[in-house]
Amino acid sequence: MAKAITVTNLVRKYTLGEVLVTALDNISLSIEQGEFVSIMGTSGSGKSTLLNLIGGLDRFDSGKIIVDELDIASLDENELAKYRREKIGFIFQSYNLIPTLTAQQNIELPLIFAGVPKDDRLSKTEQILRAVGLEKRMHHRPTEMSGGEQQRVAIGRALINGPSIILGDEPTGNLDSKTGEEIMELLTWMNKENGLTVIMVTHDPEKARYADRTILIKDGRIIG
Amino acid sequence: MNSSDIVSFVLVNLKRMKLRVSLTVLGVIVGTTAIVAMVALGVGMQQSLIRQFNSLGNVNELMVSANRPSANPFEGQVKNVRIDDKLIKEISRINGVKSVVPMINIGNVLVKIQSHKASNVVIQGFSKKETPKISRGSLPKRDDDKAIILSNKFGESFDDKTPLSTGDLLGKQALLKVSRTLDDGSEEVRQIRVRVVAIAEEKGSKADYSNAYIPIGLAKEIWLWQENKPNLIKRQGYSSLVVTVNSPDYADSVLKKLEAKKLTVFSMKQVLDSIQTSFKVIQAVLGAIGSVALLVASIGIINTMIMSIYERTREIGIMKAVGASNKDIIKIFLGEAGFIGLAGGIGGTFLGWILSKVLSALAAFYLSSSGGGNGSPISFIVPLWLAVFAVAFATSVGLIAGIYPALRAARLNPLVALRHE
Ligand SMILES: Nc1ncnc2c1ncn2[C@@H]1O[C@H](COP(=O)(O)OP(=O)(O)OP(=O)(O)O)[C@@H](O)[C@H]1O
Ligand SMILES: [Mg+2]
Repeated sequence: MAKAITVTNLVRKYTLGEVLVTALDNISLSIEQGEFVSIMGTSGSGKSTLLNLIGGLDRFDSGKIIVDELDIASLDENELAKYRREKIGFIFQSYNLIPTLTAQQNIELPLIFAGVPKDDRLSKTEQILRAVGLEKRMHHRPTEMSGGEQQRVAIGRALINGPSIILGDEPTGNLDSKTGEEIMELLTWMNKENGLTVIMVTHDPEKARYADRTILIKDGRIIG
Repeated sequence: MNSSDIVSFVLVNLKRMKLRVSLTVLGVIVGTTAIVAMVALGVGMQQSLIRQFNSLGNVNELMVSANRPSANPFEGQVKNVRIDDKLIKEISRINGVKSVVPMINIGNVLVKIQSHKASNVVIQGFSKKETPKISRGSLPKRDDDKAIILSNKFGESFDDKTPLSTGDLLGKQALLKVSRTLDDGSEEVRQIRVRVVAIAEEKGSKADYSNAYIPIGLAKEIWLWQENKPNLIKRQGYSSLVVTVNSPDYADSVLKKLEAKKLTVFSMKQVLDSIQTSFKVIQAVLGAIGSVALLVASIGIINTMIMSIYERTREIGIMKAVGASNKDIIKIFLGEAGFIGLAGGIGGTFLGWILSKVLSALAAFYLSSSGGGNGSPISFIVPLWLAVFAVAFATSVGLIAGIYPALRAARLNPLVALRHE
C-alpha cells in the first residue's frame, strides 16, 4: 500500500525563556493510505505537537514530513493554508467551533475559504449534516448543542472539503463514554467506508482499540 | 473566498459589536462632515465670486487695447500699434474669433426722454453681431439705426425725485445731447434723436443704472464728431477693441495671437482661470483642516480593529486551521475597517450636506436682513464631486487604518491563536 505519511527524524523544540523543551526528539514513522492509527502517551509526551506538525499548523526545527509526496517543510504560508484546506481535516478535543455561527455555517466555513459557490455549498453541507446525523440541529449555535453534537459538527467541518487525512486530537476527551463511542463509530465509518487516513490521539485504551495500530510516545520519542 | 462571502462575513462580524462599531462610525461621520462642510464653504465662495465676475464681463470676450504700460514709469502708457480697420479685418480672420468690435464709449451724455433728464450717461456702441442681452423690446436691425437700449434700472437715473419704471420708457423718443470743444475754446452742442427700442437685462452691477447702448455705426459717428479730427481712425486708430470668441476654449489661443501682434489683451477667462486655481488651493487647505477630525477617527478605527482581533484571536486560529489563507484573513479585516469608513463616509457626507443647507440658509438670512442684496456671498455648496470624493476618501481612510490590524491578524500563528482564550 502507498505511504500516505512519512515522517523522518522530526525534531521540534520550544524555548520557554531560558529553558529548551524538546517536544519531539527525532521521530520517524510512516502511515499508510487508509490506515486508522491511534497515538498514546503520557501528558506532555508530544502527541499534539506531532499531530499539529503533520497537519501543517506549525513549523518544525529539523527532519522531514512527506504527505502524498508533498514536502511540508517546503510549503510557504499560502501553500500550507491550501494544504490544510484540501488534504487535512482537524478534530479537536474542545471542538473549536465558531460560537456565532450555526451548525450548518460552521460546516460550511472550509467551503467558503475554498471558494465554492453558494449553491454548491448548500447541497454539500446538507449532505454532510445528514451523514453526521445533525439534520435537526442545522440552525443551532454551538451553545445550543450538546458536546457530542458539537463534536459531530466539527467532524462534519473536517469532512466537508473531502480531505484524505483526518487528524483527531483527543476527539472524545470531553465526552462521556457513550457519546465518545458514537464519535468513534463515526471515525471508523469515515475510515472504513470512505477510505480516509485517520490519526487520533487518545488517552483511553478503549478508544485506541478502534484503530488498526497504536503508536506509543514518551518524552518526544516513539517507544512502540 | 468570493467577494460576496467577504461582504456577508464583514456584515455579520460588525453586527456582533454593534455599539463599538457605531461609535467608531460616528467618529468617521464627524470627520467626513467636517471635510464636506469646509470644502462646501470653499466651493460656495468660489461660485459666488465667479457669479459676481460673470456679471462684470463675459469669458468669451477679450478686451484689446493698443496701449501698454510703459517700462518707464514717467512715460505713462505707450502706444504699440495703431488699431485701424485693416487690423480689425486681420483679427476677425483669426481662428475662433466670432466678432471684432471697436470699443466706443461716449461719456457725459445728457439723455432726455419726454420731460425727464438724465445727465452723465455713458453710451456704449454695440455691433448687431454682439448685442447686449435684452429683457424687453427688440434689437435694432442695422448698425446705424437711430435706436437706443436702456440699461435695466435706467429709470432710476433721472434727475426726477421719484424713480421711473424703465419699462414705461420703451418705444419713447429720446434726445441725446453731446458736446465738443472747438479749437477756439467754445463749446458746440449736438442733439441726436433716437428711439428706445429695448431694455437690457439686469447685470447686477452699477452698469444697470446709468448705461445705454446704441448701434456701433451711430456711436462711431458721434465719437468722430466729438473728437473732431480728420482721418482720426487712419492716423490714430481706435484705442480698444472687444474681440468675442466662439467659445471660452478659444480664448487662450486667440489671446496669444493678439499678443503676438503687440496688442495688450485683457481676458476675463484668464483672470477667472487664476481665481479658479487659487480656489483649488483654498479648498484643499479647508479640506485638510477638516481631515484632522478624520485622522482622529482613523485612530479610532485602528483601536476598534485591534480590540476585535484580540477578542477573535481564537476564531482566527479556527479559520486558519480549516484552511483560510493569510489573504482571506486580511480581506475580512480590511473589509470590516473599509466598511466602517464607507458607512461613516456616507453618513458624514449626508450630514455635511444637511449642515451646508442649514448654514447657507442662516447666512442668507443674516446677510439679507443686514441688507446684503441678492445672492448671499457666504454659501455652502456640496457638488457631486465633493460627495463622491468624501465617501471615497473616508473609505480609503478606513482601509488604510485597517492595514496594520489586518496584517497582525493574518500573521497570527494558527496554533498560538487556537490556544488563545
Ligand atoms: N507553545 C509551546 N511553548 C512551549 N512549550 C510547548 C509549547 N507547546 C508544547 N510545549 C511543550 O512540548 C511538550 C509536548 O507538548 P504536547 O502538547 O505535544 O503534549 P501532549 O502529548 O499533547 O500532552 P497532552 O496529553 O497533555 O495533551 C510539552 O512538554 C509542552 O510543555
Ligand atoms: Mg495534547
